[in-house]
Amino acid sequence: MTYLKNKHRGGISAEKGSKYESFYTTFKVVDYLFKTIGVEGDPPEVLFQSQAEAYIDDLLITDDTKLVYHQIKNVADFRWASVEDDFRRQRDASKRAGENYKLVLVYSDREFDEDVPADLEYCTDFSYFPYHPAISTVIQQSSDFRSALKGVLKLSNPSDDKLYALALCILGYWVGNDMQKGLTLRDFKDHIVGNNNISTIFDRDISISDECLRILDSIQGFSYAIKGNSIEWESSRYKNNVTIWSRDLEKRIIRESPHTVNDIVKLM
Amino acid sequence: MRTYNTSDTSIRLLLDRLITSSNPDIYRNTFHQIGVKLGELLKGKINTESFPIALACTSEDADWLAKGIIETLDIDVDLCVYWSDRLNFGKDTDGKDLEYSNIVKSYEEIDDKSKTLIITKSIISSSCVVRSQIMRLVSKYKFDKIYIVAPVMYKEAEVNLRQEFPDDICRLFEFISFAIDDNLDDRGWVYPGIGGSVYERLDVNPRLYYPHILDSRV
Repeated sequence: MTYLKNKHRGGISAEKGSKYESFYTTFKVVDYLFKTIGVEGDPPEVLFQSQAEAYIDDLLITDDTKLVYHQIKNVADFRWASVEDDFRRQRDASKRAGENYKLVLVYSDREFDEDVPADLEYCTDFSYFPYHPAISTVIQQSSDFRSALKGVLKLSNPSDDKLYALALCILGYWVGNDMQKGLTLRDFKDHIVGNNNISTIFDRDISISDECLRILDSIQGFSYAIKGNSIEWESSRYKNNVTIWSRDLEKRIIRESPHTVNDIVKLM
Repeated sequence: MRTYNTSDTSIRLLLDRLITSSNPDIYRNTFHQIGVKLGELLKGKINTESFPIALACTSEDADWLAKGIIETLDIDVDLCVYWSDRLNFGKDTDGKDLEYSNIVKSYEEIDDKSKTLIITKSIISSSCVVRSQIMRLVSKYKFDKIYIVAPVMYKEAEVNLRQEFPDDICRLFEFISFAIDDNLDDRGWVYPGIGGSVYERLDVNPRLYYPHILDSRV
């Protein structure tokens, strides 16, 4: 128990600078969202915790059926010898508790080829995840991360800045909360859906009120098409414009009730 | 403290005028003249291999800085103009703000043939705005060269921006500025920079401003 508490204190201080752990957690949250519900519907019960009281404590993911303990390493010349005892202690503790569990070592070196110790093999997975100080670059380097972000956004061909925005939204929420207490998948989903900042990047079909449509339709020389969450518009003078639709924009249009192309352009 | 990347005194005078002038018309005109100077510099770097060229900028920079560059290049340039909201998603583990420039409106002439991208902005500090523009464009188009052009940049702007992109994209970057500032004021703005908030000094609301340069591009 003393060992566990000391390890825990050291872990908290190490965690402060640990971008790698938080980036990996961000990836796992997105991956869970992607594989379950996206940001719609009712999410399954999944809890994400860091520095939980455990031997393997960088990230613990608990769902209905399983506890997955992650050791997340971003050090030069990593060797199994430095962590294998902790893995064994965790294995034994999980066995004693009758858990359905899995241990995972996450490492940032793609070339790492040391085998999992034989006695841990049956309960341990190894996972490579790239490290870079900027999450934008990690998104580029990890095709799984990228695919999961795309899947959650449900955009056919989202530009990289949109993937980046979703990752930042999750990362900021994770880092800004009590990681030890943890956050559920529902917390993340509610944060994303309820976050006005991020809502504009989702390609949800928008609904424009009849009143607003009447105004747009009445402007001579102004044409538009609704595409996902955006409105593509042009006139003989202004081409190639795309505006992300928002309730604020709709309110402005109704309030100002523009009659000419010049008037609507100022609002769009 | 400011470090100049040019010995041209006329350019230094223009940069000084950005700081001292209080008249929006003079400020706008000064940006246009600086755009011309940046255009002259770019003209010496591009050649027939560089074509087609696209230029991206914010709505507030389009009518003066970008226009000066485009006029001086005197070639067909595909123009992209972006309107953005700045969002903050909290902090990273190292305490740095997780800032994001959300493009909410766009005007894009660009097509997949573009080989050279010029990104221009009145000042590059946190790189938040140009980062989103570059991310958006490099994920859709394949460029051979990307010029990142601003009259004034903060000393860490280049390093910060390079850090956000993988090596194969960073290799395309060339940063062009006339001055590098290494001070931030109480508001976190680059000092002396371009004399404060570009929106206030230009007297435009960037969210609502529709640049005149787009009128003539049909």
